[in-house]
Amino acid sequence: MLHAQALSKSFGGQRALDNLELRIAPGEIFCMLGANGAGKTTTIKLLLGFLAPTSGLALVDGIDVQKDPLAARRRLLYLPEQVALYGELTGLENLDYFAGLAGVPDRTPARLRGWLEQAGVPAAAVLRRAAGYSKGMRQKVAIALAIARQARGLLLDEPTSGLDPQASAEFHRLLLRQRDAGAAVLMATHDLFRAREVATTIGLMRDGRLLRTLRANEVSALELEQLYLDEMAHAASATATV
Amino acid sequence: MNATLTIIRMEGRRLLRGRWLLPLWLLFGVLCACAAWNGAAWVEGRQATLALILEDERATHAMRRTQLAEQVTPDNRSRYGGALYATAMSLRATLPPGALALLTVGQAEGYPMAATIFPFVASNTIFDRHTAGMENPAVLAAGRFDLAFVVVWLLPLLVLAGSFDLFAFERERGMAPWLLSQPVAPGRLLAAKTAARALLLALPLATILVASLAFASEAGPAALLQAGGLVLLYALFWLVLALLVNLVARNAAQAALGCLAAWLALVVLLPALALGVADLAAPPVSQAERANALRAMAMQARAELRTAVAPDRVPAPNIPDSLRRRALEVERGERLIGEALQPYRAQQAQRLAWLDGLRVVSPAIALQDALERLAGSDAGRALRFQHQAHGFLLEVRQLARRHLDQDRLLTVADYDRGLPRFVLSEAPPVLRLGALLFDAAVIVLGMAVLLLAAGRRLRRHATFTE
Repeated sequence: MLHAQALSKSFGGQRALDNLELRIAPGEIFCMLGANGAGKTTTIKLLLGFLAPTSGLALVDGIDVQKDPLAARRRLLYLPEQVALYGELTGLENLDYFAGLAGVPDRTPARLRGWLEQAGVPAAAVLRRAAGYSKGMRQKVAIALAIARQARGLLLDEPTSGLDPQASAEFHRLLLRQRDAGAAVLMATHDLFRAREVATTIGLMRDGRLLRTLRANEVSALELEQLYLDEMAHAASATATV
Repeated sequence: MNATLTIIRMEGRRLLRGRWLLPLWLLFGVLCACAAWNGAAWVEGRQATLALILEDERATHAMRRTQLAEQVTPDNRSRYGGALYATAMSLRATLPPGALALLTVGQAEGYPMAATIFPFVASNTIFDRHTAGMENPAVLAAGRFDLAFVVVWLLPLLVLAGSFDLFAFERERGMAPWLLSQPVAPGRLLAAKTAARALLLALPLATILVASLAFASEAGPAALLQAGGLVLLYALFWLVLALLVNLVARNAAQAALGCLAAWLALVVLLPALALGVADLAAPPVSQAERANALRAMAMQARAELRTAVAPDRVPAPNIPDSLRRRALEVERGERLIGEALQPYRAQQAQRLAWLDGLRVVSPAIALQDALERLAGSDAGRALRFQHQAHGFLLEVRQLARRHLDQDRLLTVADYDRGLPRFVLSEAPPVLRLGALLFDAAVIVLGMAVLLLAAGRRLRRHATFTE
């Protein structure tokens, strides 16, 4: 569903992503771990068509993102670190608006409420203006949009940073539900432990390169942490040598 | 199409909930009401002046008729006839305000609105300069607070106030990537957002202006429609400008500054600069220099005639020879005046051509020009009046010449048949419409340039995620 084929991106002379090979099937969650500047967000932006690759291909459901970005985006839902909603509109109206942009038909109030309910938005909050929503609540509206749109690919860029543990756990439960519904998920995160819990596959990235991939169920949390720290320490020593 | 309608609907809902739209409409309504009241007062004053002038003409004619009927007899004709005849054919030509005159005072105050047509005076002295109306130095310095001022200067500020953060709002809050990750083309998204503002901002403001005009004037639906259409175009121009600024600015503060700078450039600086260019390329006629040249010509004409003066005939004709000499002096002087004025006329025509051409520099100038044409307070109409008043003078002179040749005094019957009357012949509608269309085309062209720039910017930065 999500496919990066020898995908590279440079900014000026700086290599932000180097020859990335990635394939995420429906029902799979791929977590990208890495320090800031590892190339996680660049990968997501390339798959969304926000950036043009220097070389290689970004494919969504077989569609070349560069050639037909709208067709690719029709299959995707992007969740940035901060989901911003229109504060003057209620949660229901925001969902109506964003679902309308995606051409979701039959957006009756009852159906919109149903989608919000499935995403865990309390009924009392549905008709409140989004200006008063917490980050977790805004994330839920975004998940409701994924449900409404029946998005086949989710691109999540550090979606749980800044969420309290309860909200984070709730978010990951929703994410697993989407995975079970057949969505292919690519998530950039710094949260190693959550990543191991929800991911099917984990990728460690550094300096724009995917260093290794691990099956999440084949590695313990402690092992994952050690591997991650080893890779980052290697990066630090390489920088110091330079 | 559904996505576009969704954006327009939701954007409209956001705007209406923003709590500033209604005060903005009200503010514009109040400004329009004040300006319309001000304009109506000016029109009323001008109409009162013209009515007095025409009333004076009627009273003079009535008095002369009575004098002819009651005082002039065959016995005393030579004593009264000349004196009476010299003042009998005193006529007035007036420039009435247009049906939409309250829209703008425009250049009307720079030109005379009445002329005293009298066969025995030089044509350069017929216009009543003091009736032009520029009596207040403050008005000269700041211009009048009329509807054109509200539209040309203030309407852009209101449109920009309501649209300066058209997309900068989303960019500032980091919403742009999330919004643009939805399967909708950025161009369509922005076009729909702009359309929502066109419906809730540009259209209501144009409607408020037309309502003020309809309430305060007796203009017909066609004129109101033309005024409304021009104002709507102008508002749309500023909306498109806000769109372009929003494609460049990264946050609302930058966008606000950009919009303000554009307003300053297009509404304040460019018109001043255009006038400066016109002054350099075709300086205005110096009234003092012109007056001196005319005075010299008049003196020359008088001196030439003095050398060739013939003695008065005996017995005296009905119309005394002194009046014939005066007519000859005027005719001779007219030729000299014509020659003396020729360079000034050419200079004025050149200046008007420059000013006319400089309309294309800014939509603000084009709109001001169009509103002046609609109001009938443009330089073209004033000059047309001057030209026609001059023609009327020649017509009256010919009539007087026939009377002099036949030595025939005006009679009561002449008054009863009616003396010639001046009626202003307006420019053909097709010419007027053509000029308005040209002004509208300047605004549309400006809009097209902005749209092209916006499209180019959009193609380069389609995601605004940099």
